[in-house]
Amino acid sequence: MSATPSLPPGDSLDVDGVLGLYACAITTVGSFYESVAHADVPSIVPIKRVAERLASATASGSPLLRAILTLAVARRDLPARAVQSAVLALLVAREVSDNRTALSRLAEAALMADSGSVLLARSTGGSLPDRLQAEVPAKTATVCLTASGATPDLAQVRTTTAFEVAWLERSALLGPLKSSAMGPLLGARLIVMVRALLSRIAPQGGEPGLSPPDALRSVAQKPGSDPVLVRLLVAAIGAVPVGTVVELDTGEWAVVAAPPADPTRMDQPRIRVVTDTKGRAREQLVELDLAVGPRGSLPSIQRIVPPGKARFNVAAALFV
Amino acid sequence: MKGSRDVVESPGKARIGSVLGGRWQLVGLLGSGLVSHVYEAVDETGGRVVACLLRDELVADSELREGFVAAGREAAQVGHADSVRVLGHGLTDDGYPFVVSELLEGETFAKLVQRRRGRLYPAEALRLVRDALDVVAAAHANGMVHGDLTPDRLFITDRGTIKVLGFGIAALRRRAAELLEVDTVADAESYRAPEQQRGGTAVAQSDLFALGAVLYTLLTGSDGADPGARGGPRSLVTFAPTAPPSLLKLVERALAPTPDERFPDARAMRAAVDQALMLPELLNLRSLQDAPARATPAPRSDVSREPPLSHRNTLPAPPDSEQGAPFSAALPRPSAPGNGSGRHAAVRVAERAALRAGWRGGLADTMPAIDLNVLADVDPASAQRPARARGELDIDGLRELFARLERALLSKIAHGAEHAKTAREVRALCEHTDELLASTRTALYWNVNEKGFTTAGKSVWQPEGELARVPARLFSDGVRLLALLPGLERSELGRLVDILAYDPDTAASQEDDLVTLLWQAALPHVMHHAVGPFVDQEARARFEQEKRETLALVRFDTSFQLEDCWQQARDDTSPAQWRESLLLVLGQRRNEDGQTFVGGRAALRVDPAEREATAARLASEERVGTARFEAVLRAADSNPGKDGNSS
Repeated sequence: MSATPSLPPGDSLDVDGVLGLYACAITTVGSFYESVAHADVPSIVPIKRVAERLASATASGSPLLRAILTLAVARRDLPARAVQSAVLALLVAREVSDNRTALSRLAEAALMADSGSVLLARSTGGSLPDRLQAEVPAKTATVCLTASGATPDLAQVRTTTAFEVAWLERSALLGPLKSSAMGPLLGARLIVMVRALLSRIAPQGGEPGLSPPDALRSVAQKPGSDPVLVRLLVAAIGAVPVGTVVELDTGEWAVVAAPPADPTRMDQPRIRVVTDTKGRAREQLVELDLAVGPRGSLPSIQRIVPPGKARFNVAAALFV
Repeated sequence: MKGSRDVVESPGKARIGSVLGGRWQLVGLLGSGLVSHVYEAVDETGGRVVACLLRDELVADSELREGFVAAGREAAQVGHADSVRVLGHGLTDDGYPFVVSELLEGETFAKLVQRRRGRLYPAEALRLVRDALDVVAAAHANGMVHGDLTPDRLFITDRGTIKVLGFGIAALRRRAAELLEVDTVADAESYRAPEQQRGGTAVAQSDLFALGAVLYTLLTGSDGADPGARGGPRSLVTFAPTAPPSLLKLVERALAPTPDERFPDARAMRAAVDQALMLPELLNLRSLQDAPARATPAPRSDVSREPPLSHRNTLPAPPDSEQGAPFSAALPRPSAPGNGSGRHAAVRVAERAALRAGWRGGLADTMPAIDLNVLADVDPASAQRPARARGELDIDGLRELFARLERALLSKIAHGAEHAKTAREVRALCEHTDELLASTRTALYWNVNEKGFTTAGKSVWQPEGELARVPARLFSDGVRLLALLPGLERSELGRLVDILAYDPDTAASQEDDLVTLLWQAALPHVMHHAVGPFVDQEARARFEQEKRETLALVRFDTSFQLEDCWQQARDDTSPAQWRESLLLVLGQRRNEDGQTFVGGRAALRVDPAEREATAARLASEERVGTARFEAVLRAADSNPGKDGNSS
């Protein structure tokens, strides 16, 4: 059986717009972090604008935003990671909310979450010893407040969220966050979860990462992980996440392009078939929704291809 | 539409209660068509589906028996997410073929036109046909032609998805009509291409003809363009002589008498529909007949003379625009002498630029912001033209609008939004705005500068005293264009007044800039554009470089490596039990005692209560985060690590 029923990829999707936004966001966050690194006083306004646009973009439902996950392997620097995590956090939050204020706050916190590290790294020129790691949450809050100018009361939620993200990521060193009986802010836990996913798929040290499903499984198994947030993450990117390279029972290879509408059909996402049954690259990609049609009439996923074996540009299959 | 002879009703009800394929139980007869009886059925999980059974009178015909199931199979191969999902097919115990598909909730285009008495917004009609074209394009890509598209076979679901019904059934209808001796094409005649009318086979362009005729129906409320009519199809120009030429041209091309003269494929037609959707004159237009008059009514011969978009005058990207593309928007053709549409070119370009930047589009607000301030003096000559004709800007009317706005703002500042005087002033403002919007028949746009608002190069508002801070604040926060659109509601205008009157020095708010306030308010009939984050050339150059690198990254072709990877991966790995291992972790739930168990696939779903609780929690974080802020402040002040954790 061959995956012949096809939908030519790229229809009605604005690749240029999504990548323009991605580049715009990275440039903005890069400038922000650069100011922080030079001990200048950065302005919050560009971060707010980017956060608002990312929040608007995720309302469009464009599958290309999910495909940004595939860019994590190529761009592991702090500004890119901040943007990738903001997009992912927004996609997850969009599963339950369209509250613009809450969404933009969430994105702002995700974009600024590494501010403290950047500030402290200027004195060490790179990785931080434990002594300085312990200071990161407080410094993150300091940067968020400073960036907000003379009216720090306007920055309370993003500052608190960014602070808690920095703390939670260092809880092995700092101990649990005890600020409230309610536990950490939901936004902070969400950002920590998506950052953990990204760091497993594409570790910032440059070493090989896990396949997206393995990374997701690892995040879900992490002690203290919130099962509801994990389910929302699955709803947003799929149990076999966007960007996963899979082998079909036909022998063809495909890249997961979008999660199934129904998360219980976890192994029936929308895919782009990249090879034929002999492993030859397809001249034209074929898009296929494995959840459409009765079981048995379409190919099924046979296995996940490990990232080390799928040495091709996965992003190219999705941003056509 | 010509009448058709009713088919003989067959005893379809007798089958209610029976089970098809061991899975689907028929629970009711929805209706009977030329070819089949249509039943509502339920599957083993109680899910509602539709089952079609070949009519009793036709089952003896082997061509129809085989063709019926083949049509079901074909419909499953359309290959588009929005095509009708075929869930199964087979034979009943007594040999009747059946096809089971998803149950659609919604209405056909025909019902929609009937319910709305033929009055669809042109943009709405275009969007419906655009979505139908997507499905048809997918089918064509798989070598499938529908051949029988009509407003009855195009369906809009309650969720707004367009479904194309009846793929593969055109030939069956013809055969059934022969056997039943009825006129199969009568109800679809207006939508059938000339080559089909002559007895020829339907080709892909026949479907494009049908969709052109459907668009005609949606735009005019009347039946299709009736290709069989003497003298060829009726042109849309006879119905709406002032309609935009490119829209007339689109419909005319779709309805061309021969396939070669039509669009080469569905994607090309979709692109033309997309282009028509960008026409600012269609925005908020209730009917094509309301389109503002152009210099001369466009006779059909004019339509074909319209220069292609790329040949028209274009405005080069301004040196300080962040995104060149939106500024490449084509200018409207130069106004002919005596042309009534003398609106300032800058405003019209602004409309197009705003549209191209994604406003109201699928990716609204995702493009870097554009600075429209530079457009203020694009065409000084046209600014001198007296604004008198219908559709032109009424400068005096605008000044009156701002006089009323001032009164509303001052009342809001002095008495608050709830005060009766403020409500009265907002009402007066709203009434005048409604009048202006009705008389201009388009949106009202203003460029914003630090001192006031301008339109067509003329100052329409330059407040003094206390209100001087309003444009100054808007400008310093980055707003360069503000627009009010037809359909503006009083509550929106009231909210806009609140935002304009906002003073961060005195107001108790979580926000300090007007762009964010406008964005958060998300007023559907108030549009604004703000400058983006790149304020200097260096930052802009970095953005351009970043974008180039990102594009290069995703376009880097490594497909030549695929075969090697495929071979190597095949040699050394056996398929893993990945489903089970994933489910083991992701499908975990907790019972009431807090014990973990694996809930299977169903556990992957977030139940509504969880969604609601999570949404409420996220929304409440503004308050919770603020409460915790004091603790964070202490941490930031005192430091560092050890006692930074507040308790």
